[in-house]
Amino acid sequence: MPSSLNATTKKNPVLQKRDSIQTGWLAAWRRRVRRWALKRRPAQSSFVLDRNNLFIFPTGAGFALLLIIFLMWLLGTNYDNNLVLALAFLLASILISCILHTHASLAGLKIEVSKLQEGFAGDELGAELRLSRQGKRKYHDVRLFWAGQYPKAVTVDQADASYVSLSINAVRRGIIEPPLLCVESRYPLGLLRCWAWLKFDTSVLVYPKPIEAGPLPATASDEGSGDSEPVLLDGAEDFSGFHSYRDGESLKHVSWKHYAQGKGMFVKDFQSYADEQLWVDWDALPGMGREARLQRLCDWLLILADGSQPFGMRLPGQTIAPAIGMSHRLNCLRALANFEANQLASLSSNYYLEGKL
Amino acid sequence: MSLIYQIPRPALWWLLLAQAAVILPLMQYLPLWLLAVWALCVGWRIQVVRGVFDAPKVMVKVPLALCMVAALVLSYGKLFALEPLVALLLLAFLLKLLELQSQRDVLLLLLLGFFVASTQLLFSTSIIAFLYAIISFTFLMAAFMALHTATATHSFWHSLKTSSVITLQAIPLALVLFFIMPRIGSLWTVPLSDGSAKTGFSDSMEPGNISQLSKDYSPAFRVDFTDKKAPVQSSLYWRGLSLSSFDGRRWELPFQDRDDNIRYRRIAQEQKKLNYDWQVDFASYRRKDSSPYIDYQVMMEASFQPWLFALTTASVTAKDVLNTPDYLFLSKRPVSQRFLYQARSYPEFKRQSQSLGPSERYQNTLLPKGSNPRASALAQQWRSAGDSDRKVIANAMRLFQREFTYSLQDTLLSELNPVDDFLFSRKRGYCEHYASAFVVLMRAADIPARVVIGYQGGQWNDEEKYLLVSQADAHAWAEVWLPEQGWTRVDPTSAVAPERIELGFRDYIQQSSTSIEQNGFAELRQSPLLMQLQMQLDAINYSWQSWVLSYDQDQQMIFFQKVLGGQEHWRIVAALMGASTFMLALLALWLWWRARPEAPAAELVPWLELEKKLAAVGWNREPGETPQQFTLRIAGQRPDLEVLLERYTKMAYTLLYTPIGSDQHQQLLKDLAGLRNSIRV
Repeated sequence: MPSSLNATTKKNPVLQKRDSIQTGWLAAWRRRVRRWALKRRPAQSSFVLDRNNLFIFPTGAGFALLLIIFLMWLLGTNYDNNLVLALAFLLASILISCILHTHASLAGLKIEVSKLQEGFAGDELGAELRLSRQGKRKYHDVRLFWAGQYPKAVTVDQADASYVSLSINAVRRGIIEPPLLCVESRYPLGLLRCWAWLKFDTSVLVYPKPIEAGPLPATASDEGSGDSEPVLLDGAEDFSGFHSYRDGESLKHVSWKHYAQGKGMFVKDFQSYADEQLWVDWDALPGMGREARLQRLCDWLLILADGSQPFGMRLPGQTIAPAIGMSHRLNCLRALANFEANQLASLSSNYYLEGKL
Repeated sequence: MSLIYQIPRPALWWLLLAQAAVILPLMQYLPLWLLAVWALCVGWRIQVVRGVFDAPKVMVKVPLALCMVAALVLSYGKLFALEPLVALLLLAFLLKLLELQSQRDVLLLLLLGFFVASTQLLFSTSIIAFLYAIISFTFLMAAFMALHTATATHSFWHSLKTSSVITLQAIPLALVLFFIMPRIGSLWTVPLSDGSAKTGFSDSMEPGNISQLSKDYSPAFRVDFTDKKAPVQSSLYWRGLSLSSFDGRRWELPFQDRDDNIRYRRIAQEQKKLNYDWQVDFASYRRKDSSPYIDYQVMMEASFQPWLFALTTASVTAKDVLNTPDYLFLSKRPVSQRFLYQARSYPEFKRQSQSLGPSERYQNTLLPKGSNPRASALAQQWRSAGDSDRKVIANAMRLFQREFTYSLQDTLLSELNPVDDFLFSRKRGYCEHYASAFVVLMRAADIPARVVIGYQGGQWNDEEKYLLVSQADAHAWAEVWLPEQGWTRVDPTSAVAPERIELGFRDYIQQSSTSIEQNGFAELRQSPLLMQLQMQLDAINYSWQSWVLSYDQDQQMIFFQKVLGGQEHWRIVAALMGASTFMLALLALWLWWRARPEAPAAELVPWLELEKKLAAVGWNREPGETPQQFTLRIAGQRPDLEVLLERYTKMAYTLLYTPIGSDQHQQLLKDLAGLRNSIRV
C-alpha cells in the first residue's frame, strides 16, 4: 500500500543532476542507441542477459589505458627494450581479455520484475526486481536503474534469487509501464562497460495525485435517496437492540447491567442508516476538467478513508456502495485510477528512454 | 554545496601499496630524497582522509612542485637524460597524491603508475625486475578494482586475487603479441642512461687497476660459439683496446684518440674516403676459402664504454660499430644496455705484416725521456749484444720466468719509475705489471710494441654450451710488431704463471699450491657449491637473454621464417589473428563453463519437461505460481486437459519422495513419460 499521502511536488535533486550530465553530443548519441534498442527489443516479462541484449564498450578509463599502452609501446620501441614492450603487450592483453570478463559479469543473469506497487501519481513506486543466476558464477557489482535514475549496485552471489528494491516515478495517473531498465557492469577493472536496456511488459496502476479540495460539501452527506434500505453497519452510533453473546465477540458492547442481574450475557446492537452516508461524488465538483476532478475526489477519498464513517463513491456510469475499510479504500482508489484510463495519452518513447514525460 | 570526492578506503590502501611497489625498485637508480617526498605526500593524503588536514591549496602545491623540479635539476645538473626524466615522471606520480579531487584524478594516478613501473626496466632487464614489474601491475589493477566495485561485500584481498587471475589469464595472449606483433626499430633517438656505475676497466691502465677487478665475478659478456664446442682456454684472448701512449706509469690511448665521439667520427670519415691497406689486406684474406675462422655471437652486458670485445682479428657485424686500424671495434654510443653482436675471427691472419707506417712506428716505440732508466739500460744491453727481435723477446720472457712471481699483493708501485721498481726490486705483480714492463723493455730495444687490455679465458657452461666471461677474467698483455709476422701477441703473464692462461682465472685460483696461497689468490676462492649455483643461475640468465631480451627485428624475421614459413604480411596477420582468437576462445570457454546453467536435479526433470512442452504453446508458469495453481490455470482454458494435468502433477510430486534407483522410481519415470506423450497441447 502506498505509504505517503503527501504528493511530492519538489523536484528530485538527484534527477536534476543526472539531467545536467546528459547533455552534449555523447549523450545524444547514447540516446540514439537506446532508441534503437527500444525498437529492436520486444517487451518481455523476464530477461536472461546474453549476446542478444548486451552491449559493451570501453569506458574513459579503458581509452586512457589504451593511450598508456601506446606510450609504453613507444618507450619500448625507442629504447629497444623488449621487457617494456612485453609489459605493453601484457596490458593490451589484459584490456582485451577484460572484454570477455566484463561480458561474463552480466551474461547468464536472469532478471524479472517481481513486484510493482501501486501508488499516487508523482510518487515513487516501489519496484522489486528478482535477479537469479543460471550457473555457479557470482555476479559482482551489477548496477541497475530505471531510465533517468541513479544506479543501485548489487552482488548476486546467493544460490537462490536476490531481490533489489528500486523505485519508478509515477509520471501520470492510469496504467503505466516502467521505463527501460538499465543493467550495467564495469566489473572487474572498470575499463569496459557492459550494459543492457530492458523493456518489461508488466504494468502498474497509478492513482490520481490528491490535491486539496477543501471540506466535503455539506450536501454530500444527505443527498442519498430516501428510499434506500437501511444497512447494518458495524461501528454505527445508534442503539437498535440486543442479541445474545457469541463466543469470541468483543466485550466492549456487552450489557453488563443485564449480566449483573443474572439475565444472561447480551450484546448491544448499534445501527446506522444509508441516509447518513458520505459520498465522494463526481457531480460535487462541477465545471472542472476530468483530471482536476479526479485529483480532488482522491483527496476527499483519502480523508474519508481515514475516518470511521462509511462512504461511497459516485463516478459517471459507476457507483461504489458505501462501506469502510482498507479493501474498500483500495477499490475506490482503483476506480479513480482506471476512470476513462483508455482516454489517457499513451506513454511516449521518450518516457521509456528518460523516465519522464 | 559541492560534494568532496571521497576515494573508497580499500582503493586508497591498494593505491598506496601499488605506489610503494612501483617506487621501490626505482630507488636503486634515483635520488633517495624522492622517498621522503613520497612519505610527505602519503602522510598528507592520510591526514586528509582522516579529516585532520585540508587538501593542499594551489598556493602550496605549485611552489612545492616547482621546488621539487628545481631540486631534481640541481641534483643531476641537467634534465634531458634518462635518469632525470624518469625522476621527473616519478615526481609527478608522487605529487599527484596530493591532488585527488575526483575519481578521474585517481585513475590518472593509477595509469601513470603503469608507465612508471615499466621505466624501471630501462635500468635493469633481469628476470627478477620483470617479474617484479608484473607484480606491481597486479597491485595497480587491484587498486583499479577497488575503485570500481561499489559493493564492498568482498574482502580486502578479493581485488588482488581477481586481478592476479586476470593477469595470469592474459599472459598467453601477451606472449602471442610479443612474438608476432611486428617490431620496428627506434623511431627517434632518446636520452640513454649515462651509467653512473661504469663497469669493467677504464680506457687507461696503471698499476693496480686491473688487479682490483679480480674480485668482481659479475659477467662481462657471454659467448655462444656456433660449433657449441668448448674452446681451448689459452687461445681465448678477448681484445678490447690497445694502448700505445705511455707517460712512465700509465698507459693510455694516443692523445688524439681519447675522446670517443671525435675518434668515431674521424675514423668513420676516413673510411668513407679511403680504403686503407690494413682493410684491403683483411678483406682479401677473408675472401680466401682456405682461411680458417671461428664464428660466434657475443652478448655483452652494459659496460657504458664504447668498445666491443672479440678474439684475435675479427670482423664484427653490428649497427653503428666501426673497425679501428688496430683491428678493434668502436661503437658509436657507449654500450648502455645489453648488446648482441655476431663476430667471425680469423686466428691465423697476420696483421700489417708488410710494413709499419713511420708515424705508427714512432708512436709504438716512444718512451718518455729519462723515466725508468734501468729498464731501458737493460733492453739496450740486450740489443747491443746483437740479439734479434725474437731473441730480445725471449730474453725478457726468460727473465720473468726465472725471477718473478704472479701475485695480487703489493700491486701499487712507487710513483717514480714504477717499471724499474717492479723489475729490479719487487719482482712480483699482476698481469698489468708484466704487460707494462714488457712493452717498456721492447720499446727500449726499438721493437714496436703496445699494451692490449681485454679479457682472457672464461668459464665454459657445459649444459647450455656457452662461455661466460666475467670481470675477474680481465687481463692485460702485449703486442709486438715483427717484420713478416706483423702484430704478434706476446703474453708475459704466461711466462710467470702458465696455469693462469691454460686454466682460466677461476680454475687457476681453485688450485692449491703454495704460490696461490701466498700471493693473495686463495681469498678469492669460492666454495664449489656456490660456484655451481652461480653457474646455474647464469645459465637461466643466459636463456632469458637469448630468448627474450635479444628478440629483435632480425630474430623476429627468423622466427617468422621458421614458424610461419615466410615473412609475407598476410602470414603475420593470419598468425596474429589465429593465435589471439584461439587464446581468447580458451578464455571465453572457461568463462562460459563457470556460468553454464546447472543441470536440474534428476527428480525435477519430468516436471520441467512438461513445463517446456507447455511453454512451447505459450503457457508459462509465473514466478511464485505453484505447479498446482499453474495446472488449474491451464485447465480453466482447456478443460479437456484437466484430468491428465492433475494426474501428472500428482505423480511428479510423488516422484520427489521416492528413493532414486528403486523400482517404484523407475516405474514412475516410465509412467510420467507415457502420460506426457498423451497430453496433446
